[in-house]
Amino acid sequence: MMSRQRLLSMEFALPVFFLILTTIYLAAAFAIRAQISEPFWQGPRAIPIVASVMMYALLLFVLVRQFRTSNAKSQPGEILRPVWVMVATGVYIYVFEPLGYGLSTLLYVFALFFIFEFRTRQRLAFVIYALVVTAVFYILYAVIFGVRLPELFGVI
Amino acid sequence: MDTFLSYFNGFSALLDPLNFAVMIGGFLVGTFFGAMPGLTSVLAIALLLPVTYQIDVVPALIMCASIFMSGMYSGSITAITINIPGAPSSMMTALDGNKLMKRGKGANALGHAALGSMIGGTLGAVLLMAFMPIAAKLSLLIQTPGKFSLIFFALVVIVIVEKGNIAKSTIAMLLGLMIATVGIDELLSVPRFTFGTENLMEGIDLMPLVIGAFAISEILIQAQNWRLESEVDLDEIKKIRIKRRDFIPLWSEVREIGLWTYFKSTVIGYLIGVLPGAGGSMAAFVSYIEARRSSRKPQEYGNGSREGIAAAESANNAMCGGAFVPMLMFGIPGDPTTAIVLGVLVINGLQPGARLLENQADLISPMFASLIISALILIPLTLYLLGPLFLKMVTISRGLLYSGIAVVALVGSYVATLSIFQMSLSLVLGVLAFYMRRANYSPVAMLLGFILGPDLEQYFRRAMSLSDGDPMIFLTSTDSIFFLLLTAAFVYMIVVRKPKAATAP
Repeated sequence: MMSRQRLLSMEFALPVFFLILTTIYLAAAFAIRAQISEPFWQGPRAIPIVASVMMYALLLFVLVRQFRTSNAKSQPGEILRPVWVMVATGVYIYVFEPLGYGLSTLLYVFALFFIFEFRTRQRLAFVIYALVVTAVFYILYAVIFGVRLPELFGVI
Repeated sequence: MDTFLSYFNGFSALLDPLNFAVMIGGFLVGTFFGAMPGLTSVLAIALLLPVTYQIDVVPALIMCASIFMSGMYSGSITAITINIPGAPSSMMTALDGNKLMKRGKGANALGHAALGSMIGGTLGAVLLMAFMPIAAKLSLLIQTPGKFSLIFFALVVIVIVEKGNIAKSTIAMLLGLMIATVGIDELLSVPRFTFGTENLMEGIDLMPLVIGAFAISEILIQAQNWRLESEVDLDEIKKIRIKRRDFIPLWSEVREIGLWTYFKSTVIGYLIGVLPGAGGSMAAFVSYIEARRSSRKPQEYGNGSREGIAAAESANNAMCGGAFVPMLMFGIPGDPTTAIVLGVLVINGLQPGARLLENQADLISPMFASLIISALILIPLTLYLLGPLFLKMVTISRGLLYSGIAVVALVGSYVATLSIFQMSLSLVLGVLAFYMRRANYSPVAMLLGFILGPDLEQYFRRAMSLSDGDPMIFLTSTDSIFFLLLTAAFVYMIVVRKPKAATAP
């Protein structure tokens, strides 16, 4: 009997996720309507449908092979740290325009320094390094390449 | 003759201060990324892809070429000194280089790695320039059904080189193809897979995929392995003392290795570069094995063989030249770096093919010149001038490094299109690539599927239109049959045929 933990592991979860994605994709492929009537193989649906069918076959093959594998390989490493990076990055993207480049990037760098445990006990160095990282990429993009980055109250 | 004149002009273009600066800057960035364990030249080019939106195509291509060449070479620095290959292509170099390092001959090993890279990189670029006109003529012979079969061949090779993982590699490639179908259909102008979202009408750009698959996923992988990978032992590094003159290999050692070893490894590396999906690791591995097979001292391999270092490094740098041939002539990238360079070409409105060499040689010749100058002059020069500093690079805090990379990746994905949607896509695709890498699905196959998928579809549908829907066109067209037979031959050689006894060290 396969453990619930193993069923939730990436070796099963990812193919199942791909199966769901393929199903949505295939349904959308059938919904494509060309204005001019084209034979199937010359139309815009052919390759997406063929790709979906191949995906189903390969995903089922992979899933069956995983079921038959008796010993699951445990994934080394941490789970939470990458999740924190994802959350921090998602928040950064969300506030990037409203808060402007300067403040949002500074907060993002603070968050990453915490996650990657960089100089967390040396507060002054922590702040200075975060300011330097923020300033360096501002100079690269806004000053050297002249890109207009989002601003907060007209300040960087 | 015109082609060779434009090659000459390519060298002249490097005298322009901006072009010269981006070549040197690219070389140093590539050296840094190649030497840092966990970072690669692919990541360097991925991070600089948004920058290419802001500069002209010529300096952008010059920069890509110097990053490619330096990144391929500099992986050997930490492979030799601390036995951690900076890039996967330097795995074989670590076997012998670090043994020499432990015997106090680290500088000598670095010198041989640089010499091998210099010879392989230079000859590989010369071979690229010599065969480009021939490849251009050959590309004109290929008709629409043949083009489909050629891309089919490339996709098949990309997945079968992932031996033992073909199913997952094919899934990743198909996923890339599916992502590429989002947006307006090029042939009939019909929206596909947009789900009513205006942002998806123009399709998914290469840039968020590259940033996501190679930059964001790398940061997430590093975050996952944070406790597993300890910081580099600073005391060990402080103990290493290297003098500049020790970097210069002795002539007697070079004669012992033999010019034939350099030349043979270069040709192997170049040919593997031409093969889609193979890359520098395979080039180094195959030439190392071949050099050991034909060596007079095979027992030294794995125990500090300078010949082994020379073979591996000549091959992986020669691969750089080979990888450009299918990309420039057929739009088929040989590896992820050339896939991103292809993106740079397309962003700037350049289409790969014979016409590129015929009409726009002035735009790509400086890139060839950059490959040669990087290999011939910058590799030995930077080793001599900066060699003692190379080791210090690995002492930079990973926390600072990855925080900086995260910012440059995300802000870069914004500045390319000034779109928050592109930034969000980078994150989504980065998270997807992270979980794919954890479960052994190749993001490289996904990228190549994304790039080659639209051409595969277009040529298939055009060929079917030409034959009024008769699929026999793929079996009656000579060029198409050639590539289909080539596909069958590769499948037989790599998948079906049982390998001889393992020869890996």
